[in-house]
Amino acid sequence: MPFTADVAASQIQEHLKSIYNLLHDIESQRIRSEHNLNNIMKTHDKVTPDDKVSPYYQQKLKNLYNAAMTDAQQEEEILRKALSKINEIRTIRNERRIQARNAGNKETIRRGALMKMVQSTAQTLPLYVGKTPGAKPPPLCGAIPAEPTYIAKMGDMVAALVKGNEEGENWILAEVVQFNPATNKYEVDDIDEEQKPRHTLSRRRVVPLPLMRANPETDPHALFPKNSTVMALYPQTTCFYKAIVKQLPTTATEEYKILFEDAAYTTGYSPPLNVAQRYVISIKESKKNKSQC
Amino acid sequence: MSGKGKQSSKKAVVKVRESGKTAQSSLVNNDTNSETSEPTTSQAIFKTVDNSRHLPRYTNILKRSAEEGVGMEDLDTLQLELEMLLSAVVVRHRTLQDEIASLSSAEERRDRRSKSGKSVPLLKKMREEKFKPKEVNAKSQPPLYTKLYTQRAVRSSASQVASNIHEIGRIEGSKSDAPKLLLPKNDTPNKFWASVDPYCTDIMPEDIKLLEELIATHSDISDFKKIPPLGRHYSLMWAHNDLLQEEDAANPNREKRKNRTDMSHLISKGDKKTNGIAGPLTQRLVSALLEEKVYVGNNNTENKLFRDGDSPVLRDLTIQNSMNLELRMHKELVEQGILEPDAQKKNQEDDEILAEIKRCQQELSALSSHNVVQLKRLFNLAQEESKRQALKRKISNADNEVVEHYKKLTKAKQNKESLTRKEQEKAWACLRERESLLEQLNATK
Repeated sequence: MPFTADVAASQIQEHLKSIYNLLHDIESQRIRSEHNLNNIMKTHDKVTPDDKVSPYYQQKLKNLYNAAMTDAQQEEEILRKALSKINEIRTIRNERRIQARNAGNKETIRRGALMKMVQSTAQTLPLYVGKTPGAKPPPLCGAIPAEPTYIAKMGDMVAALVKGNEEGENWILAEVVQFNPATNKYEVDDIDEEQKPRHTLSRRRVVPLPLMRANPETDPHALFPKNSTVMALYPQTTCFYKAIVKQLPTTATEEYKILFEDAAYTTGYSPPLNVAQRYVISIKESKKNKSQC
Repeated sequence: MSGKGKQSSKKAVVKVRESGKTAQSSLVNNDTNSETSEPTTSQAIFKTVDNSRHLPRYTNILKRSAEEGVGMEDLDTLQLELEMLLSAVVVRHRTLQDEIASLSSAEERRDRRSKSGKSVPLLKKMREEKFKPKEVNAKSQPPLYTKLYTQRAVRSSASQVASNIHEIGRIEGSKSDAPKLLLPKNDTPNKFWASVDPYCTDIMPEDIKLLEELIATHSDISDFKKIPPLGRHYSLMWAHNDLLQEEDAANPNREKRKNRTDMSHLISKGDKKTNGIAGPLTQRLVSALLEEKVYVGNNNTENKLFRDGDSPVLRDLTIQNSMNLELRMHKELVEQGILEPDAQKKNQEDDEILAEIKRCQQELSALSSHNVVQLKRLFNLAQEESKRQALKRKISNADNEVVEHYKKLTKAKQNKESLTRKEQEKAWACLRERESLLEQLNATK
């Protein structure tokens, strides 16, 4: 969708206003939920001295729990709405950035700023929160891989297996420029502008990165299990290396603890390093095994 | 890419994130704690602090005016905070669902227990009611006594039904309480009164009729005093059975018809002999004579003596009557001096079976007379008691009338009215009647 600067700006402003209103709705709903939770605690205090829960208090607690559950559902809806608004604003900004680049406005970004941007986009990836314990996370959420027929879109971040000058092949952090259905190949740009900018790769050499983070509290099954072998982005670099998951995140904003394969250490692995969920993907075994750096 | 450079840049980042973790985890714990029971005061204070500390951008935006609104620079931080809230809300939602499910299952368990509690005493009483008839049968009492017990059992079962209904009402009323604890306490007195009830009820006319029937039945014992006549002698019976067995053994498969004809012939012979021999004296004489002749036959010619010996005995048996034969032999023996005139008495005494039968009959007649005496006494007592109970009913009616008159009198006093003479006379009449009834009751004691 072509966006003009004015149209994009007005849409963003409109979204910002709606977010403001939604925040106030969230606050009033939270106050109501807090009121019900206080009632539940009072009832619990009355019940605690007795050994048995009488049918009267059972029925009362049941009613209070139902009311609190209704409040939680309403609060959940408003929060999801607000988060979707934020996500729409990000989408608009991303579209604007792509249009600017296509117009030929290439900006030279310093490495420090690049690394900062890499971290920021990882942290603000949308969070998936399943509504029920049995909800199944969609593809590209956390550790869930993409479907075989999936085609990454323009602007998506991927891990791409490219050839270097002197060294062997490396998995690098790249951005999709376009996909050619005729030749079944991607054109991707290396995030690091210092090196050769564009690569044409077959689909087998491109691994889409997750589009959503998994919530460890509600959907731990969407994370890579402990001691599993993965490909992870080495901190402060744009290259993916073979590694083992040392520890899973416990909250939505936490990161994996990763042990990278490193011959420099006696154990063969580096000490634990933090890597965001976005930059941990399942490993693809290449025939040459020249992924060492 | 140098390893050293990597390591140096890591340390600062790690420190920052560790502090972030502690803050986030405490926030999550706070939200999680909201589901568990905690003191209200500290919870409220804790929440207020958490909002300002852990949701700084969220709190800040709420304080702003509508004009200021949300800025682009706020989005990154706001997203993280809203995601934390969303995660906490979903966790709370799931926890509440689990709590409701556990409460529902607990209610179902309690319902089952209460139902099982109800059924237990009913089953017990059913068993008790079934057990009583067995006891009656086990005692093997006469059917008339069984009637009496069955009547009382029916009545007690009726009273049990009433008590059961009462108990069911109690159980239903006390559903909210623990039914198991109350049932044993309530059950024992109900059992006691149910068992005692047959002994405490008033005497009914049916009971008196039953006693009359028992007395009539026990008085009539003429049938039991008859002595049955003597049957066939055991020796003849045994001989007959032996002959049948021999024939069956000799010809098991052949000539069944001939065997039947032979059997009938032998039976007819046996019957003739039995009809001929009647008295014990004749039997003894005949057996003695047969023995002597057999002994003589061995010494002399066998054929002639045997035939000559048999013919007169057979003639006498067939021609003469059994009674006359017995009498003639007795007379001849007395004339010859072999027997004395008192021999008949001794013969009677020798029959042990007859003596035993007579002894038993005497005992039974004594027992029966005793039973009749007791039944008559019981009958008299029952009649007297029924009269006294009738008097008691009259007295209770008289008491009710007196109470009614007393109420009228009190009402008249309250209203400051005077009763009419008729009413006064009625009241005095009731009192006199009551006194006379009481005197009658005392007289019957």
